[in-house]
Amino acid sequence: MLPLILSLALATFSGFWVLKLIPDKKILFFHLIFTFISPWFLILFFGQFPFNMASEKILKCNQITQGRACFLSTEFLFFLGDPRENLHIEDQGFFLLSTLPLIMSGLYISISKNETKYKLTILALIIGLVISFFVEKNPNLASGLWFLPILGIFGTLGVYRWFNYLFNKKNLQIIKLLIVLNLIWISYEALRLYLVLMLHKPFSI
Amino acid sequence: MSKFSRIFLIIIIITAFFIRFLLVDKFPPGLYSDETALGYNSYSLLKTGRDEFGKSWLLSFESFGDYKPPMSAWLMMPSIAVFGLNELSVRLPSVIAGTLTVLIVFFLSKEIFNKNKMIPFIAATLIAISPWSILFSRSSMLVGTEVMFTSGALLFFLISIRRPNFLYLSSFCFAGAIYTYYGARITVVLLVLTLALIFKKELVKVKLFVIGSLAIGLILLSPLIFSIVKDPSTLTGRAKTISIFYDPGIKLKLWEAHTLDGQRFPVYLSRFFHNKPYFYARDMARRYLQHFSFDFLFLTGDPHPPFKIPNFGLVFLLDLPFFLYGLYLAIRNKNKKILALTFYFFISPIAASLTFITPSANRSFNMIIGWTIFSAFGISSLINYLRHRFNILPKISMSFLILGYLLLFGTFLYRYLILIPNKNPQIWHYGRKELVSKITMLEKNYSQVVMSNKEGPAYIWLLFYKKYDPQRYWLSSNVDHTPDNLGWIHVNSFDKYTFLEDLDWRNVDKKPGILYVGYEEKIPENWSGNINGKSYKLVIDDRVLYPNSKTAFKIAHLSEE
Repeated sequence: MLPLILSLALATFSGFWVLKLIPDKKILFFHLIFTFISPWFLILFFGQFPFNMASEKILKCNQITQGRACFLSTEFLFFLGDPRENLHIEDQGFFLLSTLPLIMSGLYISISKNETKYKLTILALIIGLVISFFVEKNPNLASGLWFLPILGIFGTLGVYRWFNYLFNKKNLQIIKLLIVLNLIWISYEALRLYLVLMLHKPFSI
Repeated sequence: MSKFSRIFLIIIIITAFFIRFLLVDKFPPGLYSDETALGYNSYSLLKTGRDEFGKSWLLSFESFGDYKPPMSAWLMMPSIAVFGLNELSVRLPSVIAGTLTVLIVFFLSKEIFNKNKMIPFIAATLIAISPWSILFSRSSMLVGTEVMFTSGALLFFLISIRRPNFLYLSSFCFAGAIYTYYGARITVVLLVLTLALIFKKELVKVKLFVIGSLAIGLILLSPLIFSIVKDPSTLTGRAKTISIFYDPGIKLKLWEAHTLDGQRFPVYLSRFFHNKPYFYARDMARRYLQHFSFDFLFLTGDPHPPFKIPNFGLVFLLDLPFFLYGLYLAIRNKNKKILALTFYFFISPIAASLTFITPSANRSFNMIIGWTIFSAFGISSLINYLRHRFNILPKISMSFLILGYLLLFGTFLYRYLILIPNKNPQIWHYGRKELVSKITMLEKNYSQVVMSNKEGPAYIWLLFYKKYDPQRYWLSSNVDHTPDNLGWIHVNSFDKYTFLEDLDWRNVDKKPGILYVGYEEKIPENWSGNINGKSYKLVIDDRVLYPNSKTAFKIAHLSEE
């Protein structure tokens, strides 16, 4: 039960945070969608396993880099995830690769805004990263939970910004086209993620 | 430019040159097989007008089957003519290219940030002491020269916005890059298209210059185009065997995904969700992103030999905050020239991401230009900010910054000059020069010399260090031109030298009158046995030692007991 409660608690907490950043109820809908297409959340939500911090299995991101050195790699976040089999969905990290542009957009928005609440979000990310780095020598899902929900917040900010951009007639058509293509890619990856979850049954859901 | 600025620039350039030139024949230790091959092909070209296999029309050298692009070998010809065939001559063009790149970075920064006088100096200093740049300036690895041409082309293109006749120079440099490195055939095309899109309004105004420069580019590339028509290998070289499309891993993953879908799942849906375009695109994206990883840039560098510096990244960790700040400011800026540089930076690892050997320091080397300029932009902006806010702080922070960079540069030098020769000399093929000289002394008494090809094709060092006459080599060489599964071709023998895939004493054909040359662990200290009814024992004639006194090679023969 603990992973399920934890996943819901983190999603709710980050939802409130997002609403604090942008007081528009629409954003909660975007946040819900973003959360339900994030593998880290789905592993916690659907998985039935004893959830522990220590990971015996070493994360290897290439021939020579492993353990903590992989901590800030895209391999860890988007491709490998937790090295333990029951804590990861095949071929997936903690976020869908197609959501990387969303997270980057959200991060950019937060850095650009000269408001305390955005600065606090950045600070929370930095603190989360620092704690996560020191809390476990082999990066894994449990240690990642210190910053994954905050990255999720940036992802939601990204979705919100993109939809606003799409519905503004003055904006550049080429950028709109790129946004639409990325959204199609996200939808495709999200469907694929659920297909893998339902058919390949990575942790017997 | 003021007199002081000019003197300061000259000091930076001279320092950059000496960092790259001093002891270049000794560090990195040894001469890597690719460098040796380029050197010998250049020597052969100088002596005979043909490559090591006697082929003319040299727009790519077949070499080990990797069809090396020709520019580096062409550029080595003057230095080989002056200094002879040795390590210095082979590496000198790279040293000069690396130094010129420092100058290009200076002028590129000046062109992009023309209002800020500090950025060009900071950028030039940063690239002068950059481990990534030093690594490829002190070895002849194609990319050093390619980056000089590509960054030069970008510089001339940006100048051409003010003075259109510089487009011709840009075109010349882009063509130069294409003749230098296969990866440039992707980078240059993408960069040219991006520049055309960003500056389309400006280019329309100077149509004649654009047409003229395109014509120059086409004329310069026409021999290559003709060559590609004649022999398609000239276009891609060994790229096809190291491309992700050649990697069986993806096909296995695809097969596994289809199997896990089960028999009841509709085939068309299974194909829709698990298909080659998606898997390859994902793999490419994965490999592309690896080049921005913290470990690759700051901790471990390139995991593949010989580009690995023990426990050291490709750039200094101190760059990170400044780079991020500089990049952030660059993205916010609407200046087209900054946008061009940003695209150049993000285009740079694309060629590398098409191969399965990633992350790769050499194939993504173009990143260094954007990296240093953005870091310099970050440092300069921070100094300006501090100057406006506080009065004393800039001096203190600058002192700390300089001290920090000096410490990191010192650490890099320690790892490069002390640790590589002592811990990993074999990755740069150390010991081959001494080995050839020892073989030359001993070989008179033997009818055949048998050598191991493990860790690199041994024939090339014999040709190089013996300054073997290319025409004699053509007559006596036995070459299997059929590529193996990795795309390599094999020289089986020439003169009295025979090459085995791996000389292992347990399996080798044992005969008296043969000089055996192999790795330490492959030739035993003692051996005795009967051959044709006579009793023989193994005698170790000589050894080649690594700098840490461990044995690298053994030279041995059989003696009658």
